[in-house]
Amino acid sequence: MLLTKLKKIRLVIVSKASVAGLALAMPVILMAGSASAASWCNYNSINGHGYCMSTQGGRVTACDDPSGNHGGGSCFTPYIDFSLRSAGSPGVSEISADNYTGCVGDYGNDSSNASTDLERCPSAGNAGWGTKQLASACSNPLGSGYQFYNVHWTAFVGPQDFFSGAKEYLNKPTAWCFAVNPYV
Amino acid sequence: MEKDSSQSGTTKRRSTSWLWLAAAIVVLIVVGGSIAYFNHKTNKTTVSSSPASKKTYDLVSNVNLPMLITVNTRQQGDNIGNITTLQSDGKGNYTYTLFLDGKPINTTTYTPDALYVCKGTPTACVKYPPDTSSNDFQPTNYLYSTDIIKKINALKTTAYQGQKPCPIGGGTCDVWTYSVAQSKKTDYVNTATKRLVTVIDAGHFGKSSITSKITYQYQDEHINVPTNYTDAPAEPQASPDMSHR
Repeated sequence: MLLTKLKKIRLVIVSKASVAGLALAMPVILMAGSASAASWCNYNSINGHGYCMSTQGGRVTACDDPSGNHGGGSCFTPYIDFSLRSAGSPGVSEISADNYTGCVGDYGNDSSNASTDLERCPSAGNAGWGTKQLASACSNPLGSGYQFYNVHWTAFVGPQDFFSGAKEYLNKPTAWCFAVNPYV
Repeated sequence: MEKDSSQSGTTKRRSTSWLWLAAAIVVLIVVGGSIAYFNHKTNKTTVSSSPASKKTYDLVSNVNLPMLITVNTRQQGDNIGNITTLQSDGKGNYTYTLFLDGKPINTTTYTPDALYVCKGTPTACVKYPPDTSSNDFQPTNYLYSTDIIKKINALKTTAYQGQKPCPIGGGTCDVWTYSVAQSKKTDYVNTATKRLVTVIDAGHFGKSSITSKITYQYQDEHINVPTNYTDAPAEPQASPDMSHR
């Protein structure tokens, strides 16, 4: 009976250890070879906060994220990641929202409205007004970042100003760099 | 009844051996998993054990050098991408230009006293006060100060990759790589002049892969400050809320 009990204990120890070892190894398996999610933010060089592209109230807005890494800002709920997708012409891209169907474009698909929401951007066919951007690297050597020049408005993508909930616009006169952790 | 002592002794030895085996397996799995996890966590770039990999990241600061910087950014699958340039006269004046189909479509001229945005056909320019908005897009983002150079040298991921032909301007370049944020950077530094000549930034925007090639041509650059312009409102970053029109 003692041997049986010890055998049972051994099995439990080995199985739990296997699970523990596998759990520790899983992050390596999951993270290997893939880009990790990140906030793309305009960093205020005075207060160090990142004002990150997100959505709120049906609009694309800037969310104050003190940590600059998916944390802190209540306007991140629900959280959205953005990616670039080709708009079909060399150099022309669309900023697509990963969790939703749509790309950053003219609010309400109104070609005279430079504030933004998520508009249609099919892989073929007509996309919404203001969805086409020219992306260019803009970060300092210690960061990753891109600025976006809107083809429709012939101006830059950027927030109204540095505050949480600020609307993102497509007609800013100068470039705004959407970056990840530019300050080391 | 008395137990058969020989049998109980054998049983005891066998069960003890199993316990030791189990403990050894646990240790192996936990240690192996920990090593694998922490190796990835530190995001180590494989560094050659040869002495060359220890070479200090070494280049001269280009903050005060006149130059033409060309940035070619391409999404994965796009062999052309788009081009922007930054001209610097080495005295704190810059012109940032966007190109489409080889033609300039928007130019921002930065001077200590004012900022000028020119675009359209015929070209129309608007003058703004100097940008004091703490906006993190600055022409100096593309420049390598001594502070930036020190910080790159201090990164754990910075590794010397040996000498290769320079991508532009001829000659041989010392090559370093390092990883920051969402990018892996490859810097080419001319061996003779110690000047940075090319940066390859292999990065991501979300799930998208993007590669930017940034080249530095050190030459005299004259910054043309517009003389025909209209004045803009005081806040250079303000935009009208079009929904209220």
